[in-house]
Amino acid sequence: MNIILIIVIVVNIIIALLFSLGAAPILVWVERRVAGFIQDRLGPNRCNIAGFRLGGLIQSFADMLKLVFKEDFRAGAIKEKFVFSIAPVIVFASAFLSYMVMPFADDLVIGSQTFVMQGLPINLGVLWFLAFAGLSIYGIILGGWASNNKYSLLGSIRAGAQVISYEASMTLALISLLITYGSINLVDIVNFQGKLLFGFIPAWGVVMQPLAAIIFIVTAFAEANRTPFDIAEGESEIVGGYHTEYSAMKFGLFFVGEYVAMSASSALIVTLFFGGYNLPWLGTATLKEHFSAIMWIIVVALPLLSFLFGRWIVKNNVWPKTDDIRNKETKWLLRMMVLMNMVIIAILAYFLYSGIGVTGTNIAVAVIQVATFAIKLLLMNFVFVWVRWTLPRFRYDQLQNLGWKVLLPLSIANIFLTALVVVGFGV
Amino acid sequence: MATITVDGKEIYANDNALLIEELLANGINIPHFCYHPSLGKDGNCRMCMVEIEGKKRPQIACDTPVKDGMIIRTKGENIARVKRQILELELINHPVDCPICDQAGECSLQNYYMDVGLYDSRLDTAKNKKRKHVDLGANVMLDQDRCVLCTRCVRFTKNITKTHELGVVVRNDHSYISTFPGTKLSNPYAMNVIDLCPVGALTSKDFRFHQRVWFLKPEVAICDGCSRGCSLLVDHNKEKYKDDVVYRYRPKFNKNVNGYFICDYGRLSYKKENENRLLNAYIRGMESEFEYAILKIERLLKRYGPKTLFLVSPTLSLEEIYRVRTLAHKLDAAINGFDDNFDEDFKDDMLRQSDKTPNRKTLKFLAINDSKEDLLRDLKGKEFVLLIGRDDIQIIKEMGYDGSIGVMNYRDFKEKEKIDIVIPIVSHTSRQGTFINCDNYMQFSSCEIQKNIQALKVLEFVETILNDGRVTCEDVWEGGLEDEEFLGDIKFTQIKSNSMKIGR
Amino acid sequence: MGIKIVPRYGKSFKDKLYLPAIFAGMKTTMSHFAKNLSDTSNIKTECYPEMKPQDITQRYRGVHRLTHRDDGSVRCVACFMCATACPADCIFIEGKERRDGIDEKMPAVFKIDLLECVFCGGCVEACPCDAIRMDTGIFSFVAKRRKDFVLDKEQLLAHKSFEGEK
Repeated sequence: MNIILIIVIVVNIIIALLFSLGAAPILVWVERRVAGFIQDRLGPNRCNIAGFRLGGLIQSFADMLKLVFKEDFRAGAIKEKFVFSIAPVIVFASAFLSYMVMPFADDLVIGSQTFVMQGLPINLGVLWFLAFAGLSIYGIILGGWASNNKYSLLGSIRAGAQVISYEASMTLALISLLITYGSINLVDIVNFQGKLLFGFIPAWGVVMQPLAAIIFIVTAFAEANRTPFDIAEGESEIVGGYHTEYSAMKFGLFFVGEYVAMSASSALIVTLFFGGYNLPWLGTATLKEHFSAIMWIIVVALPLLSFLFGRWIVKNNVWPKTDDIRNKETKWLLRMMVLMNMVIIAILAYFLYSGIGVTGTNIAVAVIQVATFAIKLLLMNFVFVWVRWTLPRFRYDQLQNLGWKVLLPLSIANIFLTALVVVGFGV
Repeated sequence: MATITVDGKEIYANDNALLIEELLANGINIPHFCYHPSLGKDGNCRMCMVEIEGKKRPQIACDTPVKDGMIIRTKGENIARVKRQILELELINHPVDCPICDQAGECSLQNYYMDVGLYDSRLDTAKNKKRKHVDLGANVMLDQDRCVLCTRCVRFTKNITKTHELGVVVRNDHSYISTFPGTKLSNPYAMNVIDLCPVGALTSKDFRFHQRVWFLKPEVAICDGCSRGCSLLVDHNKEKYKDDVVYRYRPKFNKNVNGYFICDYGRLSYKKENENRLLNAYIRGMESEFEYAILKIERLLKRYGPKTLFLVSPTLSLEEIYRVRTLAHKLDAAINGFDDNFDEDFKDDMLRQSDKTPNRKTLKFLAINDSKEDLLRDLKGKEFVLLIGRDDIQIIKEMGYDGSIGVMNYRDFKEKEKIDIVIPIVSHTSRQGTFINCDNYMQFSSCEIQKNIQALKVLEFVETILNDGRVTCEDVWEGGLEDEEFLGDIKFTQIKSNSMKIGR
Repeated sequence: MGIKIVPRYGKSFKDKLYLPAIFAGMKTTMSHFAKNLSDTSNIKTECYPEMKPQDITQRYRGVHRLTHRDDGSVRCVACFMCATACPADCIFIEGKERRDGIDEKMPAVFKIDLLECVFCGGCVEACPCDAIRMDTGIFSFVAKRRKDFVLDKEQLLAHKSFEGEK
C-alpha cells in the first residue's frame, strides 16, 4: 500500500460514482430537455439557484430534494413490509454495481505500478455485468408482488417475462462477440477495438459484429426497461406498473435505478461496440507517442469550440423578462468559460514548454480517455432518450414475438456464423 | 248526444254544450283567455277561433253550442293566421318583461305566442303605459300593463264570491282593472284570481320573486286547514345546497270537494311546512340523539303498557290513526282523539268549515272516542300519555293529569322541559295518507317531500314497535285496513287516484 | 356505395425488418431536436407568466361579469335564465323587489361558483338583458380557499371588460 495506489483507487471509485450516481440527475435533465425539444416544447427551464439554471439542470436537484422530503406513504394493504422496502434497494444496488467493471481508461502505468482503471479492479468483466443486470429484475418482481396490488403484480410479471425472453438473446449475442474478441475481460476487449481493420477502419465491435450489435442494443433497451420495452410500467394500461404503490425516496430509488441501469447498459454498449475509451485511429500507444501534437490541437481547438458554445449560450440562454435574475447567468457562464480556457491553456503551455515526462503522459492519456469515454457514454445515453421519444411502446405479444421468434434465432445463427469465420479463417 | 268532426276526427259531444268545453274535454288544445269552466263564457278575448263548415268567418268556440254533424277545423293556415292576428292585438300594449314576470313559464300568452305567434313586432308607436305593481290588497299585486282584459277576475268577484270588488274602468285600449276607490280586494277567496289570471297581471305578493315556476315540482296533496280537505297542488323545489322548500299551494280541481278554488287561509298554510319546525328530539328539555329518543319511547311504552293513553290528533291520516289504534289495542292501552280546534267564525257557505282539522271523520269511522268526557275517563289511572301529531299538553294538564308525557309533532313549541320525551315527526306534505272530509269524501294525499330534517313518520314509528314490516300506506291497507266495514269494497289502488264517498 | 381497397402495409420484407421505419422516425425526431437546439426561439411555447397570452379575443370566455345600466346600477333582473341554462348548476340567484323605479326586480344574491363552472357560455347566450358577459379576459382565477372561488354580486359587478366597458 502506498500513497499513489490509494490515490488512484480513490480516483477510480470517484469516477465510477460520478458516471453512475452523478449521471442520474444529468440523465433526467437530458431526458426532459431532449423530450421537450423533440416535441417542440421547452422542457424544464425555470428552476434556478441565484439565477443559475444551467439549462434547467437545477430542476433535477430540486426534484431529488422533493422526493427526499415527500411523505413515504405505504398502503395498509401491504403486508410484506420488508420485501416492499428492500425491492427498490435491489434495483438500485444491482444497477449501481453492474457499473463497477466498466473500464474508463487503459491500464495506467505510474512508475512500476499498473492500475486497472475501473471501479472494482476485478477480471470478471462482462459476466459481472450480466449477473447484476439479471439480478435487478428481482427488485422489480419483489416490489410488484409485495405491493399487493393487481397493477403492480401485472407490471412485475410483464417485466419478469420480458427479461427472461430478452436475456437469452442478449447473452447469445454476447457469446458471438466473445468468440470474436477471445476474452471476457473488458480492457482486453477495448484494446482489441483499438486496432485497425484493413489498416484504415477502426476494429470496433459494431463493424466486426453488426448483427450482434443490433441484437445487443435492442436487448439492452429491454433489459433497462426503457421504451419501447417499458410495458412493465405501462402507465396507459396498468397505472404505474410495479412502482404504483411506491412514493417518496422508495420511488426515487426505482427512478434513479432506471437511469443508472440505462447508463450502465450504455457503458457496456460503448465498451463492446464503440471502442470504449479509444479515440478512433488513436490507440493508447499512438496517443502517448504524439502527445505534444495532441496538446497543440487542444490549445487551438478549445478556444474555438468555447467561442462557438459561447455564441450559442448568448443566443439561447435568455429569459423573457429583462430584469429577471436569470438573465445574469449568461454573463457569468461566459466568464467562467474564459477562465477555464485560460487555466487549461496555461497548464498545457507549461507542459509544452517544460516537457511532460512519461508518468505525466500516462496520466494525461488516461484523462483524455476518461473524457472520450464520458462523451461516448453521453452520446449513447442520448440514443436511449432519442429512441424513447420516437418509438411507441410494444404490445405484449409483439414483444414476445420479437424476442423469441426474431432475436433468438438471429443470435444463434450469428454464433454459428462467427464460429465458422473464426475457425475457418483462423482469425 | 251529438257527433261532431274535429280536424277529420269524429268525437261525441253533449248536444248544446259549449263547443270549447267539449273540445277541451277531448284533449284538443284551443287557445283561450276569457273562458274558464267555473266562470263560463264571456266572448271578449276572441282567442278561441275555430273554423266551422258552413259559416263564412271563423267563430269563437266558447260561444258556439254543439250541434250534431258539425265539421270543425282547429288547425290549418287560415285559422293560424287569424289566431296570430288576434294575438298580435292582444300583445300590442303588453310589455316584454317576461324576465321579471312571475307568470313566465305558466303564462297563456307565452304559450300561445310560441304556438301560433312568433312574428316580428310591427309596432312603431309607444305602448300605452299604465300602472305597474298596484297592491290590490289580500296579497294580490296588479300589473295593469300586462293585463289582457279577459275579465276573469272581475267575473270571479261578481259571480263566485259575489263581493263585486273589481271592475274594468276607462274605455278602449286605456281600460284597466281596478278596485273601486277607497276599497281593497278583501274576501277570503281573493287569491284565486291569481290562478284565474291567464297572464302575469295578477300575481301573488306572497310568492312574488321567490322562485321561477319552471323550477317548481307540483305534487298532489290535501289541505289540512279545515275539514273541507280541499285538493291541492304543492309546488316545491330543492335548490342546490339547500333544503327542499314548499313555495306555494295551488287549488287542484276536484268537483266533489272544492271545485276550482281554495280559500286564502288554506293557500297560505304552506308556511307551516317550512317554518318553526321541531328539529331535535328532547328528553326533559335536553337535546337528545334521535335514535336514543326512539329507544327511550319504546322502553316507556313497554314499561307503562296498559297504563298508556295515546292522544291522537285528527290531523293524522287514516292510516296513521288506524295503526296507532292497532298499537293501542296490542298494548291494551287507551286511545283518544279529543281536539277542540273549532272556529265558528271561520265557517262560510262556500268551502270553509268550522272544524279546523282535516280528518275528524276518521275518528268516528274507526270508533275512537273524541269527546272531552271520554278523555277525562280515559285519563284515569294512566301514567303515560303520548300525544301524536299535536302538542296541546294544556288540555290534559287542565284535566289534572301529572304523569309522564310524550309528544310527537312537527311543530316547535315552548316549555319542552316539562315533557319527558319529544320526538319530531314529518309534516303534512312529507308523508302520504288518506283523509276523510266533512262530507265523507275520502281523498289520498300523495305528496311526499323529502326534507333534510331528521324526523320520524308515524307509520315507521308504529312499525318499529309492532315490527310487522308495514311502513307504507299500501302495506297498511293490505294489512287489515281494507277489511274495515266502513270502507266497503274500496281498495287502496282506487283511492290512490280518485276521491270517493264513503259511509252513509 | 363503392368499395375502397386500402393498401395493406407491413407485409414486405422492408416493412418486416422494422429498422428502416425506426430510422426514418428517428430522423424526424432528430430534425426537430436539432432545429430547436440550434435556436430555441423556434419553440412556440409562451413563458407564462412572464409572457402574457396575446391571443385573447372578444369571443374568449373568461370569468363572468355582471354589466351595468347607463346609470351604473345592476342590469340583471334575476330572471334565472342563466341559472336555468347552466349545465353545471353553478349560478345561485335570489331575487328581490327593486324599489328605485328603474325596474321591478333585481338580484339580492348572485353567486357563481367558478369551481363548478364549465365556462360553456350558456349563461351569456341565455341572458335576455345582456346582463352577464364573459368578456373580462380573465383566464386564470386563483384563490386559496374554496369559498373564495364563489364570486358574489359585488365581485362580478366589479369585473371590467378587457376591452373597456361598453
